[in-house]
Amino acid sequence: MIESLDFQTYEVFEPWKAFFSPSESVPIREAVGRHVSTTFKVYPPGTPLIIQGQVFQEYHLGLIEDAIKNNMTIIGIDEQSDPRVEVVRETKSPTRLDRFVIETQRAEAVTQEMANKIGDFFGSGFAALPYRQFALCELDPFVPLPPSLDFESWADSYDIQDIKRAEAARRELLTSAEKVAKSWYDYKDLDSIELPQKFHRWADQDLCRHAMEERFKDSGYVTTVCDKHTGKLRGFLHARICTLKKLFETEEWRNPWLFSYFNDPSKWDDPQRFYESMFRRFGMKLNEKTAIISAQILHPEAMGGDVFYSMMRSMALKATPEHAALPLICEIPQDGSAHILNIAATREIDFGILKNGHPLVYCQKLSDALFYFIAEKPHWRYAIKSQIRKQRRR
Amino acid sequence: MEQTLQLSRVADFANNIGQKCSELLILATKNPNDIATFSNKFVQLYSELVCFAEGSTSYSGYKLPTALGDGAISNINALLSELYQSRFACLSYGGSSGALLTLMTAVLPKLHPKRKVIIFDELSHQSLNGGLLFGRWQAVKIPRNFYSRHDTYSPLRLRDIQRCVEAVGAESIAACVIVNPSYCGFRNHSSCEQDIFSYLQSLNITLVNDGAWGPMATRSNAAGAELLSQCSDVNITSLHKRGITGSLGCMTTNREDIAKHWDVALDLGFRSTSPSFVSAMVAEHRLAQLLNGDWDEKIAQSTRGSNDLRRRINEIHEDIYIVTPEMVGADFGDPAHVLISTSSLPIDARLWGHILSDEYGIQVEKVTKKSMLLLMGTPISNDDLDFTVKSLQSSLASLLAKSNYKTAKGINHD
Repeated sequence: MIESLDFQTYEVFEPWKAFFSPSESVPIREAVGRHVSTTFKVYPPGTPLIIQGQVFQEYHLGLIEDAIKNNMTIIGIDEQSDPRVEVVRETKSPTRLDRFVIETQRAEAVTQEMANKIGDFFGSGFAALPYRQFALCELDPFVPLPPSLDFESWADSYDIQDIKRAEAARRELLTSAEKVAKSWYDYKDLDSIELPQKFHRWADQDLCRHAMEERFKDSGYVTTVCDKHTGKLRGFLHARICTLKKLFETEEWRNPWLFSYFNDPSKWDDPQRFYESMFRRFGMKLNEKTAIISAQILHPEAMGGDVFYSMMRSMALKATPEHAALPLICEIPQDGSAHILNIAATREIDFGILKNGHPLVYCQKLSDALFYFIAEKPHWRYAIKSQIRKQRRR
Repeated sequence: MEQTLQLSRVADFANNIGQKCSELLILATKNPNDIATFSNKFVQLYSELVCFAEGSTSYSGYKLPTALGDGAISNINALLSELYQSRFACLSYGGSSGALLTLMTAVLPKLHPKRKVIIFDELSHQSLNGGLLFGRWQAVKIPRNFYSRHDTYSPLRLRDIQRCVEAVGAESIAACVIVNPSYCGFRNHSSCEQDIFSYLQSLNITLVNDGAWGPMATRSNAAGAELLSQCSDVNITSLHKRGITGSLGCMTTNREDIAKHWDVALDLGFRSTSPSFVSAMVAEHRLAQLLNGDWDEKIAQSTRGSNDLRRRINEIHEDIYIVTPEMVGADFGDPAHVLISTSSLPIDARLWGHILSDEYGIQVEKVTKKSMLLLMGTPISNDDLDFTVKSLQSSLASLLAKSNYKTAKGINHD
């Protein structure tokens, strides 16, 4: 009978950093979880149990205690009677995450003040990178103000004969859009930018606040990222639970201009087409309850995998078993939070359902999608990553 | 050796040795307890021998060792190349440890801008640790399959390496350092080794084989296993593990770029500038013997000795056994490695090792809680084997007596 321990964990470490770093001597039991700065060998056999830079674990402690008990020679510890070991001195440099307070609360508990704050943040975030949804033109309302907007048609429609004038207006608008995208303007700053005729803001402050307020009435989770020192909101993630029908009506799925005063009902999506697609592709019924990642906006200061991961983890840890068993759907904006879910945890991605061309991802269970973020065991995470890699290759 | 030792002085040399040995013999007979005087005399004899031999040696051809250079040291390198069938070989005056340190510190960093090195549990040489430190590498450690029953590891598997490379990313991995054969002498079939080599080659990852524990995987006794120098980019080995000569660590490679960087490293101080020409002379002689078959009988004799010990294992105790390659999922076992498992006995094999070493003068290669490894690389006579078996038997019996152990048959081993 072959006995084997086949761990699929790979410890990556830098022996030289541990070797050249300042060290301190600590009692052996306190060394668990610390990086050692010396090599440990029990003699015999004399092969290193652990080398510089590796994390001292309970396993190593057990081996060393056993060796002490059996009066073996141990190279790397000071006194066998009161064993102490050299570990790398902890000079914990602050990480980016230390700047933020990341917490999740049930949507039902969000105050009016916080809802407004989130609404404003949502609108500002919409105009900034990576969404760039600052303004739209009635002539081409599905696209946010991009360099590709047909300015010539716009100039024609306003009968702007003077090429120089049309060009100046175009330049001014694009410059504003660029500034807004890069600088994360507050609402009062956004209001000061005058838009030409037939141009409209994508996200109006009042409409955003109202939409958020309505959405928070559904059961769900709101994860906020706040600057620890200033208390300013620097990101939020909202997941909610409701029926497919309500989602269609309250997300931007039916009406892409849900947050704007511009509206063109003739271009709204047909509910029947949407419901049929959802049933045909995912087997979802009109009144079926589902979970959705409704919004995820981050200020540039908080953008990055570390904050995102912590947000998702914070939310995953709050999810109730009842909600975790529900299916999950999520719209992925082309330039937005496509990383919110990974393809491995997602059963399907469909590009043909929403009129704006954004794909919808579907996952049979919310828990499948969130598992990655709460998987503490390295070999679980490794298995998930492998799966992701395989799926991507396909 | 014939070419380098000056013929005219051979008679004086032999006469001198004879005189000194006689003095030692008289001293040992008259006053066997005076170890201090005996030691002084012995050291004096040894020093004189070395000085004489050094003085009798023709220095003209002995340039410092290089992988590409010429001169008499290159003769040794050429012989090593022939033995291991590699394009380049270089004698290491720092032994296999020095060779590995040279490789990790001064050669590998020149081959790759990548910064990660895959290593395994049961680190090979301590110098690998030094190489990781001073080469400023990031280490990626793969746990190997550990057979806790015998306190030993299984040979490498391709899938372990593949999984790790996929998880970490081939683009950041410069090299993979493997210990093959394992410390306990176990090895996989050559096709497995070739698969590992091909896989890593396809990803531009240098495969370094620390083959110090299986130095005899040479042309003369490959025993069905392919030469390790053919299954890796660089192979480090140490022939002295098989009692062939005093110290004969070396590096072999088929890659010219590695050989070139090796020479640069040696010039930068990774060798002694005052090498022992006597050692070199002896190494040259022994290598020639290995290649022309003169040493075959000695190897066969040591293999016979280790096989006999395996056969007589039950004479030592009925509840201990030899760990065979099959027991750890290996295809081969080095004939010189005899791994004895004590897992069925209520003893700590490390204590057994201590007794053998301290009271019987038997050198134990490696001992853990549940197993003991004997390296039987040198030729052994029947009398020596009897002494070894008896020593193992009585030392174990004395240890078991303390634990009042009874076998399944109810026999008290005291």
